[in-house]
Amino acid sequence: MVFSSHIFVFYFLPLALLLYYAAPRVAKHLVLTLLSYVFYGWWNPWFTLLMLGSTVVDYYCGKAITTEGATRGRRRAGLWISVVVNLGVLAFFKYAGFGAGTASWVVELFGGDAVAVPAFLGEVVLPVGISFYTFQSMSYSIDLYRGHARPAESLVDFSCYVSLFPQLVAGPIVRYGSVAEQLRSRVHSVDGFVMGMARFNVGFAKKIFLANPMGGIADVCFAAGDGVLTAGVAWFGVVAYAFQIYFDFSAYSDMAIGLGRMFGFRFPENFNSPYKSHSVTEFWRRWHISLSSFLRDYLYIPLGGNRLGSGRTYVNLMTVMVIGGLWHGASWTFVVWGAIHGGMLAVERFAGRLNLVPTVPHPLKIAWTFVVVLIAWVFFRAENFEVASRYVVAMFGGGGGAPTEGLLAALVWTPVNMGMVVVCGVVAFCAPRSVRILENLVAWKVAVSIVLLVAALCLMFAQGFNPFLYFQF
Amino acid sequence: MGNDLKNPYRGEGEPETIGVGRVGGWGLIGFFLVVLVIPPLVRNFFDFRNGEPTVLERTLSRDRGAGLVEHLREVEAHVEGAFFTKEPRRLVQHFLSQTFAEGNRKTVIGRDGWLYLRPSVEALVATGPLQDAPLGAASDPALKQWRGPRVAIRKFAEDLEERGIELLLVPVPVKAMVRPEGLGVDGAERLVTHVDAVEFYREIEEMGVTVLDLGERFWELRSEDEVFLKQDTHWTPVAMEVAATEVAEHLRGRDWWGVEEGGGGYEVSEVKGESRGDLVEQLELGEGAGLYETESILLRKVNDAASGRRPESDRMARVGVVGDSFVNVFDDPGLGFGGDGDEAIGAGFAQHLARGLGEPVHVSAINGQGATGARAAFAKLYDDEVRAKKVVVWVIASRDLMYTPTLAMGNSVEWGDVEWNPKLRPDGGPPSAEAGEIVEAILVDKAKLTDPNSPEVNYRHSLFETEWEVLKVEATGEVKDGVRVFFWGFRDKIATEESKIRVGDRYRFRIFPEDAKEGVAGARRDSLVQPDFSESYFGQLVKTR
Repeated sequence: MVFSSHIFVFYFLPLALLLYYAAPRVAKHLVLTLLSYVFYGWWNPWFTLLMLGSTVVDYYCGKAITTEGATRGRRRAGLWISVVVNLGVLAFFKYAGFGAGTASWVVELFGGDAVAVPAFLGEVVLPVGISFYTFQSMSYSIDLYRGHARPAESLVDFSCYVSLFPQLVAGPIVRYGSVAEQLRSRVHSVDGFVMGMARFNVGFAKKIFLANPMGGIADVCFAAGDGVLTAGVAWFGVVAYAFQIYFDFSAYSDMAIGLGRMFGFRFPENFNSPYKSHSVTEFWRRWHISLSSFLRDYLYIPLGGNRLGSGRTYVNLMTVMVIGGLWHGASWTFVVWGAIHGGMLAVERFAGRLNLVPTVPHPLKIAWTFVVVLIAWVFFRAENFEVASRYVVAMFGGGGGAPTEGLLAALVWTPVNMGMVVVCGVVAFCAPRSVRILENLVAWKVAVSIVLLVAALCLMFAQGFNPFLYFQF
Repeated sequence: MGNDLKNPYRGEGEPETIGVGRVGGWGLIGFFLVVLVIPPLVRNFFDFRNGEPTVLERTLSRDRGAGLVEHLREVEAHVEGAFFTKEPRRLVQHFLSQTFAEGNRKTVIGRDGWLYLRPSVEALVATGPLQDAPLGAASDPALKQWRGPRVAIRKFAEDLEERGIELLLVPVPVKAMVRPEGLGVDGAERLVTHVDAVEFYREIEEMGVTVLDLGERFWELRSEDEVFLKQDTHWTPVAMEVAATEVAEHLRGRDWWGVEEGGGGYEVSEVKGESRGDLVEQLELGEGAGLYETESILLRKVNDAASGRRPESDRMARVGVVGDSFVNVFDDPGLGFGGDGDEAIGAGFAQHLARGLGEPVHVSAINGQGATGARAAFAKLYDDEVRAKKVVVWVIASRDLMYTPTLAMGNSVEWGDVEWNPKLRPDGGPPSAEAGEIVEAILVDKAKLTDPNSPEVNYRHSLFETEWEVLKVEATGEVKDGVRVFFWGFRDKIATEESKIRVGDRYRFRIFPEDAKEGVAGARRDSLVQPDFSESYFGQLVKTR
């Protein structure tokens, strides 16, 4: 189930709160774990077995790492088993078909015969949120190995951490070290619950009022056939997508953080007004912060970071961003998306080192960064290279000409669509982020958030279009 | 470990001050919980009081044969159809429609009162039937298995050719192609068609199928008369009659026709028809919205000169008509224009085609299911009834042919093969129950019902197919297995009592020949997966257990 659905808002959430707060303290984690498994199993009950298996493996790997007197070899074995199992599961469900297809293409490129991709690989269903919970689960082993946390007191506690429904399927990626002590002891207070409630309401409203309408525009633009997309509509569509993905994902993070707070947990922030960035480097300090910091701490720094000379730094940046792209999806379009960002990070670092960055007004820097991000989003959103290239060509004037181009424009350039894009632009570029709006929380702000929730619920009943983009990762 | 612990996350967290106070805090929490808890409590209370299963009961009881995932999706769809969603939805849509001329997922509001079916417009601007559908790593695997129209059309044409029957494909243009001005596309000098339409129809013709594309004819017609209704998806009676005339002229030009021009036997009488239009219904503005008035049109009813009645569908006719709601509109009262009753109107495409040909035709047209359901119904005819045909005229909205996999699946359009009935017609004609025979039976199987509020459904009424083990036919004492009966699943988008019947339970119901019950033959339906060539009936529950 998704947060912005009837079944969650009117049934699951009230029931979860009732059962959690009615349960005695010693049973709260068990209750939360069972509720989280129901939440996750709602998509497909079989997926829960996979998560359970991964949880058990990592728990016992953690024990191997932290057992008193464990040898270095045993500790390393525990770490590597955890990493290999988690990445292996991810590799099979997410990348096996892609890998086989790519291998076949490479063989053909060098004159060989095409390798038949086993049919079953094309039918493997990607478990929802697998990229999130496998990374989270791995972080347990890594944080234990590095001494950044103490092991979970029980399998139930650890299962609660892995499966915690507020952030299970779309983040933020909550590293074990940042919640370890909260699992042992946390405060449940009226103030905390009210803060969580307000944050959830704001996220819910953001999703319904801002993200969903943008998705309607983006979908029809990216589905356009040959010759239908004009430059204006193409730019409008990718701007709408940029707003959709930002508001969709940041709304989900708001709701996840808010829900976590209702159960006494404080999760890290995941977004910091990324479209206000002056550079791509800054963008990655503001966008999907939990993923970028995960990749920084567990991949970039172990690769050497920026400590091994400029050339190696650029290679490391590109490697991390390409892997980050692949994390999002098993497709070369995601690789290109990552490569664009990696390339820009390298270029900006190079330019900064040589003092080549021109002095330009801040709005121009923000605009330039936004344009680069938009072009990269085309590859992120497009289902394949054919769509991406058609779209980019159209953005720069090479599209249009079909008799139906006017119909697409009629679907897209409506007063509501244009108004909503303006509103989204104002919110993205000018408004403070949710955590800032709520940092000095008073009663009227909470009351407004509840009114926003009610209004959003009414609009949700009418919309009939409610995807959650990051579920596909 | 403890003293060596170096937790880099210590100190994480944004600063905050919370000044709501304890009493204020509890009050706000209470307000929040009221919003979440009261609507579903009220809903479940009324369900319980009315003897309906509550959400919990529905969740815990699964229909035999239904997969667990499928069951959970059905529970979720049922939850989303709660009564308390309808009024807010109506109010929100009313506000958007009135203030911003903004439609919804099904209806686009154009200029000057023109309404368009959104999937039709989206089909015209999307990749279409010849370009590869934009499927990627994250696409639904089911989309990758979706089969387009070309394979199904080829197979159907080959099957018909084996039986000595020609196939005439008649794609009906959609409103935006002929009247784009309503969407603000001014100055169009020709039909606004999909970029791949011409090439697609050429490919179909290379398969040996004759394509009678009405696009250019309708483009000429628009200067004389309206081709499409303003507030409805369908063509006007004038355009429909032009289409019937074009088809009749084409058929009369065939070598096998052999009947002289002017075969009579049919008369026409005029009658007024009124409807707000299916596109207004799909805006869900409610009855008292006041934003759209009814459209009044003049219908020309066709009557058999001898009997004075509407021309009946003749299973042994030389001409078979297969299609969708474009065939049924102005005949099926469920599509509007027929008043409140169930009586067929008799002013539809098939009736006018019969008049143009001077002889009856057979009709297998099912609303919303022109791609496969209607063909499957045709293929259920007895083998000799099929072979009596010289031609099958397949009238289908061109949007169905142009859909991408995503649009097709979102609008329940699928392109399957059909299974042909090998049985011969019994002596004395098809067996039929005496109208209204009462039967006592155990429900063996039931088609998966579509939720009436599902965005895939564009029709007010829908049937669902069931299979029974008949314990007793009360009039004759007869017992038989495998009887297929259609019941109404929903009427005016409200689930019927019949939709709640459960597999394994015993029921009493009245059965009628499906063909004999007006408003039934063309209604949208949910069918059982396994086709069956026994006669199917229409049923009405007498008593439930």
